[in-house]
Amino acid sequence: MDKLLQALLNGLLLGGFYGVMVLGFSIIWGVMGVINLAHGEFLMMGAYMAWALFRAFGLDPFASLVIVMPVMFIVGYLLQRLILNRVIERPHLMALLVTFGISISIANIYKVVYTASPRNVPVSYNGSVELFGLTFPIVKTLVFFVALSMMFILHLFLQRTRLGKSIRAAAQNKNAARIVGIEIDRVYAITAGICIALTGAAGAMLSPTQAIFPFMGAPFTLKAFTITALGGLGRIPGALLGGIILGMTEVLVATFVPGIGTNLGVAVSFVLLVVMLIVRPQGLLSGLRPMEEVE
Amino acid sequence: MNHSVELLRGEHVTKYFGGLAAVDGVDIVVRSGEIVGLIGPNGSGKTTLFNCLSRLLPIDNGRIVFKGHDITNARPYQVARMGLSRTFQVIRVYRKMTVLENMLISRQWRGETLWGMLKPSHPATERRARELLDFLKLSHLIDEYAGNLSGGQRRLLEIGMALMPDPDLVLLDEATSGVNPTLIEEIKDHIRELNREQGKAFLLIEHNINFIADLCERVYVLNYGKLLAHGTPQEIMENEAVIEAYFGA
Repeated sequence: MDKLLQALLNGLLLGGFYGVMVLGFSIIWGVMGVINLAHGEFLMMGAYMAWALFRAFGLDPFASLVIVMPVMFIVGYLLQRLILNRVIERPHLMALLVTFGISISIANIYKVVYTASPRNVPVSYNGSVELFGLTFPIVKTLVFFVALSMMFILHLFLQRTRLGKSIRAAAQNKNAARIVGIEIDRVYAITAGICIALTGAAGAMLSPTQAIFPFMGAPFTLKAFTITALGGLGRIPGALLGGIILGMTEVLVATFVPGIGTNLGVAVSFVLLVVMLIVRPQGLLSGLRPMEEVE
Repeated sequence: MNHSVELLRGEHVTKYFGGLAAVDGVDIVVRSGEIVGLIGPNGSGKTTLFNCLSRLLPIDNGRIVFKGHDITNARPYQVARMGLSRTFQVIRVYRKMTVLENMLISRQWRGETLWGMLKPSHPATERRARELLDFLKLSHLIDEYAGNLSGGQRRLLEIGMALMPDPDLVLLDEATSGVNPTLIEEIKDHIRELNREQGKAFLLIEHNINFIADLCERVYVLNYGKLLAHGTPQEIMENEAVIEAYFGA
């Protein structure tokens, strides 16, 4: 029983991270209809940035978010303004190929610059505490609560601010938004900036718990697909729900299926994706339809 | 009403879809304070012409001028900010936002900084939204999600959204489509009042000929993308080419 509870706790904590990790992918897809295959590479960039700041200035990965997020916002903003806005009105395959090209480029540039050697961010508090008979890994627990806070702030931003409402309007009906004076290209660029900033933040928070290397991104893009299929496009509660389901499934399989360990996380993710697409292709919530079509 | 000032001019507007000319060399003018009708059989190019004039579609030939500015290559949001609003044949409201939010979103991004957009709506903007909703008799639905409104109420909301930026010219695409007769009379009264009291100009696409005859001073008729006729409603209804286009007789 203790083993099960511990596995559920670990799955929940992992799910919180997955929830914030997938948001950028899910919102870009939901608002703009672009499947960002470079999602994992932006996460990798955030992780490398946290590592570089830790190495150069001893900056804690969580503190580094105040630098990582603005820098990644600019990266996302420029990516959308300079590249994606030019292909967004064309058939979906075009944007898919462009982001695929970006993912390959980023990973290989990082390989040239940093080599393929894994990097680590050895924070001093990478231990655990016992509470209520359960073991709470400190970093993962911190990640969970920071992730929840980010999701809550993003929710408030989208619901309460005029900029957030403009993003929702653009997602629901871009032509109607255009015709009332909303500059869609700018809204898209800001949306991409926010999404890439969140993805970079997820990478920075991941840095104390996982080796950082140039090709670490791809599995996260694949997991983002699964979580989005579970939770729906552009929906914060859906991202959290999908993240928790995937996190718990991965941990339960790793805990209770002998000889698997944590190495088959991506395989579990894919099995879940295939099962979802066969059994409930519309997803648990709204599935993989763009937000505009959902309306 | 002073009709001397030309608001919108389309010169030889042409739009091709593949090899087909959906709009073929159409000349159209709307002056300030006018209510002008645009009619034609299904597929005659009316909505495509609206899309060209509001810049949702690029044109292949011709020129569009609004308030003296060449807007042929302008972006839709720029045209909207200059004072040209429109509605759509298929109602486009934000179904998952409240009626008030729908109104407020329709007056965004007017020269504001990114920082400014993080603040709540200006009280004057909200006041205007409430006044318009009152005018359109939608005040009691202010906190209702737009997706829960009836078709007619959504149509009124869409008109309200088009009016939020205080436009000089409103293009209404089949404003009476799917609306009950009582509400059609209300829409007619609203248009008339906005025209008389506030000097708003309207260009109306309509299939409801009585609606056009009651409101419009001039009517353009399209057929197969070309301008078939232009005149007063009376002249148009007596025009043999128009009768043949509609009834094939």
